[in-house]
Amino acid sequence: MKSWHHTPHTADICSVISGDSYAELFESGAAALYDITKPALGRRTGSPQTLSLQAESAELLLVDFLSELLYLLEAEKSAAIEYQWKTCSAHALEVILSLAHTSHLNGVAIKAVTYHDLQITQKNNRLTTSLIFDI
Amino acid sequence: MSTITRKNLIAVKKGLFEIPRTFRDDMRVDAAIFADDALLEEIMRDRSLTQLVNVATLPGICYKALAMPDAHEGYGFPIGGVAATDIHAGGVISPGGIGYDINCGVRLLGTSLTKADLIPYQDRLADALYAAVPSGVGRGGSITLQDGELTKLLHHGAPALIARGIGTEDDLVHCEEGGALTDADADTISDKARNRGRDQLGTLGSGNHFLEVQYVETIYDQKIAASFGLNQDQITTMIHCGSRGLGHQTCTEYVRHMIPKLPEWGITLPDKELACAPFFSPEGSAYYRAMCASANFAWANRHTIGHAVRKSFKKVVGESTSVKTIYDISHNIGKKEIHRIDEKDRELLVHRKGATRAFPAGSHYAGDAFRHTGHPILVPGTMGTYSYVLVATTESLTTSLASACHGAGRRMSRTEAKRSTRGSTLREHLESVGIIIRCDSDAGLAEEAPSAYKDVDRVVGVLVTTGIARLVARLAPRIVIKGG
Repeated sequence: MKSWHHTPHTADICSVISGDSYAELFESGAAALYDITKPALGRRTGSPQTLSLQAESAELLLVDFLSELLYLLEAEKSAAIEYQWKTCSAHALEVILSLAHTSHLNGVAIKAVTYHDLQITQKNNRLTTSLIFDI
Repeated sequence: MSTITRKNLIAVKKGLFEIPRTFRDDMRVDAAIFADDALLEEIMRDRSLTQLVNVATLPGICYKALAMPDAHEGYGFPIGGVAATDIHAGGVISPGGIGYDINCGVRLLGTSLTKADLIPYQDRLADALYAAVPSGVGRGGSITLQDGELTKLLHHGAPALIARGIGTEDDLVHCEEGGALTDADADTISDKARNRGRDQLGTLGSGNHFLEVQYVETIYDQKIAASFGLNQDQITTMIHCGSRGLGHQTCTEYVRHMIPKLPEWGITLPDKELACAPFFSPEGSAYYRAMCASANFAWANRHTIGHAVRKSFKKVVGESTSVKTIYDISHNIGKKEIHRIDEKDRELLVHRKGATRAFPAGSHYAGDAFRHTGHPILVPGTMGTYSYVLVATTESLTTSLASACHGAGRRMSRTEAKRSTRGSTLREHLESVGIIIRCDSDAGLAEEAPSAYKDVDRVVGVLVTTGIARLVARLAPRIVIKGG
């Protein structure tokens, strides 16, 4: 089950995200990111986009994934609305993103996804980490 | 990780505390905190001091890890953190110690108008500025840069805009580094970073970025104020923003690149966000050149906004209105500077994250225009409180690595600020005291409520008490433009 919530942080936004799998954890991170930025969604973009990433650790992979979503949001004015996971492990992922155009954001702009306090832990088959977004 | 309590702090003198390097085994230097008792109490409510102690572990760090009086919790470094590494003794450069918003900073413009002159025009001026300077999330500017134009800005910074009729040579003279760092290399900036910044020249962004029309409410030092071009009741404008998406993406990429390399360099860190590289390694060198290029983009950005402000004043009030740059100062940057440490001149990379430089009279770093006074230190307050202009004393060279605070500093999370303040109520209150607000978002306004920040009077008071700087002038807000 995907889940996320924000916790207080003096300067930025700290989100605690969880999932029963890496794919769910990463989608929870994406949900937190979009909850902060609140993109105004328009029509779907023409074609889905495949994202393939590899990293030395699950933490780096998570930040890479969310940084890609942030790039799409800011540079290409689009947001992921569906995720079709081909693979997703601690070190690699391949996902087909269905995207929607975004006309503007109703929330707060995120500058970056940080590594501070980022440590994915597994307890009772559930993956959890906190995540600080620089805003 | 050890918890820091009041007992771990040594009061060195009024306004200055230290955590000795013996506090934690991995500390390489002491940590020093500029604060009075009340500010220290606020700073100790979050993890600022743990982050400062973490900074004290950086390879090559010398003198002390410093926290300015506006310090608060960030990620990696605390905001308000200063750390200098000896680049010729294995010192590192840490992108997180400069921040994602590379060369975020403040520009202050002085006008030929007085507070009384502005009154008939202030509503129209607020509208004109709001239209001319895009603010808020995802709002691009009116200039979309082609690749060649962007490359030129990255290499040459604000001076590259003069040929396009944007800004004046005088603006450059009154800007830190003349608006350009010469070590910039556009080739170190990725296509993604370029794409994030391409349409953002001349935009404020959101969060705590703002444009504020103010007036000089108090002059503390008549001679220095006059030399800076400030006089009683004069209308000024303050701009706070940085390198926008281009800088954010650049920092993201270099932090990511450095993390897996740390074992190769034999670097162990208490926090990944402190990721760093030896300054003269290929990675360290590439990041430094990229940081300089991003800093140039930020100066070009504030220069462009300054130009738009000038045009707006002239359009609304009249062509004869003069709008000149008083100063432009960075508060998220890493600079190569020579400092005297342990009776030796050493070339250091001074990381200032949420901190400004503070070079006094006589220092060549102050720039030609300010050689005899020291450069202005710009400390914005909040939309409902004062902002300050100060000038450094020679004490800053020996006590604070020629550094000062960058603002009031947050004391409350955004969630807490929204819980305690209604944006609409705040807007009404500010307007009732004569401050015009242009901000699309009440929630965004509430997040930046004055109560969410420390007492700026107290913050600058610490600079004065510790002898780092002297007050020059105090500015009061009249018009506030904010992104939501």
